Amino acid sequence: MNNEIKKTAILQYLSYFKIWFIILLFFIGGLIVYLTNRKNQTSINSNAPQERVYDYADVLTLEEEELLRQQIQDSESKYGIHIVLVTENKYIPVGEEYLARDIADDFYDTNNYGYNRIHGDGLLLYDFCAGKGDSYAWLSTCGKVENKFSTDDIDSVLDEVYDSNYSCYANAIRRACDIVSDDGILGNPILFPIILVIGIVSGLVFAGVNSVQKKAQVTTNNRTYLSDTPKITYQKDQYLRKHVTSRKIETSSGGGGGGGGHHVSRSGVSHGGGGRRH
Amino acid sequence: MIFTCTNCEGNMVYSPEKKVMFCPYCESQGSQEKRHVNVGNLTKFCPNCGGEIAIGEHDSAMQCPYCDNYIIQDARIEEPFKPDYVVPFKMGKETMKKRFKEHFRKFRFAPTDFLTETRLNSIQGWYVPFWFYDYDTRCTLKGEGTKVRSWTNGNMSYTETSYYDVARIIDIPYNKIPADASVQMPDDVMDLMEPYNYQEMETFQPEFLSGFHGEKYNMTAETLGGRAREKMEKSAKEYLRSTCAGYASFSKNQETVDITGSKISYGLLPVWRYLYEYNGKEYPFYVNGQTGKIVGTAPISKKKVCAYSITFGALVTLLLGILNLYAMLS
Repeated sequence: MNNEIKKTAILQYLSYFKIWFIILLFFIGGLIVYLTNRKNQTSINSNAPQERVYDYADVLTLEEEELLRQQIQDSESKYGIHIVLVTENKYIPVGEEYLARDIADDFYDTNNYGYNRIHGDGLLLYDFCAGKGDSYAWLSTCGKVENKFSTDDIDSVLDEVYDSNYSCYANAIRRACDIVSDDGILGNPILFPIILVIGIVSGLVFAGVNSVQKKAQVTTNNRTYLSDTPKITYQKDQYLRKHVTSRKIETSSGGGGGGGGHHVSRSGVSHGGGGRRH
Repeated sequence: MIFTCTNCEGNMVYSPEKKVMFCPYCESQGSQEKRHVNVGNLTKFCPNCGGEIAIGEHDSAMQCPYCDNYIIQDARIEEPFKPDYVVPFKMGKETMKKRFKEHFRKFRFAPTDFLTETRLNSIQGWYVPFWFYDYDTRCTLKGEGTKVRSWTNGNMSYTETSYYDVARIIDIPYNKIPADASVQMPDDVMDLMEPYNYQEMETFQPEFLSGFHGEKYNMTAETLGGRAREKMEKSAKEYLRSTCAGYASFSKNQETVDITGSKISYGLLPVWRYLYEYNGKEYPFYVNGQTGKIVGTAPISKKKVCAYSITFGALVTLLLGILNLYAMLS
């Protein structure tokens, strides 16, 4: 008897959660497929050139260029973004830093970079080499990267470019990828402790909601036991007085806020970014 | 008194579904024979098997614990205990079991054996004694009512409150307000089981008792008169107030319910009772034997609460975790 009851209880339990278990399996399956596909993922934008490292300033050796290409290639498939590095011997005059921004944005746009589409997700680090103290680096972001990179994030990448050499570029790319990895591209992930709290709370709510029972509802009313229609023998509704109150209708007006840091390039593509001298 | 079948001498019982006396042994209908035993005294031994019967202080019908025959105590259904009316059982045991299962099917935290056949077979049909009170009343309500009207003109908003002198005098007749006369049946539960459909009320016949447990009244009509009057007054006052529904607010100055005439009758109403014992505690359930309305709350199995809630919480955590992973990797 006890075994039969236990068996029934298990069957009831499985029957109740079967839809949930199916959904969970579906999600796990989806995740596995996603991870498998992601491993072999390449950019779907075939209009962008294969080259990612343009060392016009010739500050890198061929081996360093190759190492950077390898690093970029690994990171691109992992994070789903295009990563481009450009160096050029050019002095950006003080007060005309917008030139750096325009050149970097134009480079990204004219070469049709963007991992998911032309002018899609990606970032470009443009280093205008003009000697210590006069060089200027600009980080141009586009697509979902633009939305995800805050001013602080851009600063933290540019912090790495204190000189025009291989290790600075490699560290800057690594830092940018860390930011992408930390924050995700499609949305802000929730921290695991928060998920755990949500799980615990939902379990408690489930227990509470399903434990509520009502003994029974009252199904009688003031007419249940009437044997006949009540007879009104006297009724009075006599007007006595009235009073009127008035008040002024208050109207309110409000304003909206704005954002900053984003701009549209000369070719009409939305970019984010920032730069600094080094 | 015991009803036996003229065909097979088996114990005949009243069948709620068939609405006739029925022999569960040879399945014949209407072939009952009334056998009186110990007229005027209590029948302490089963007329069928001779087994001793435990008779409660107020029991009028019971089942022999040895041969399961239903015995009716003549002395407790005759004057001064003869009921005027009876509402016969309309739903039989099998129907009740089905209703129970349907009612508690969705309650996941009930112990697993709560709705098993073995447990549900212990459901017993009881005829509960009730006093019925008829009242003719004259009800008076006087007070001040308000009506509110609002409008706007330009950037000004206006509210006009009008005051009225309101009075009502209404004759309200009440028919058979029930008050259960059984000590073992909780008053609040019996109130929740109302209403019964009096259209199906019948003049009392002992046949209706065969197959069920029954009681004579435990308390007199005078003792319960206050409770019935309280129910009537509550209902009358609600009715009076409903006639002033057109007012936004109402403050009463006078509210009286005067009884101009009354009549008392005695009858039996059908109740199914299921006693479920869990962790040393009794959980009683009552069902209106005519309408099928169920009163009672199921016990909660802590093991089930833990298993289901932890699983639910874990599933939510896992699904959110996976979604989060998607977001992180994308």
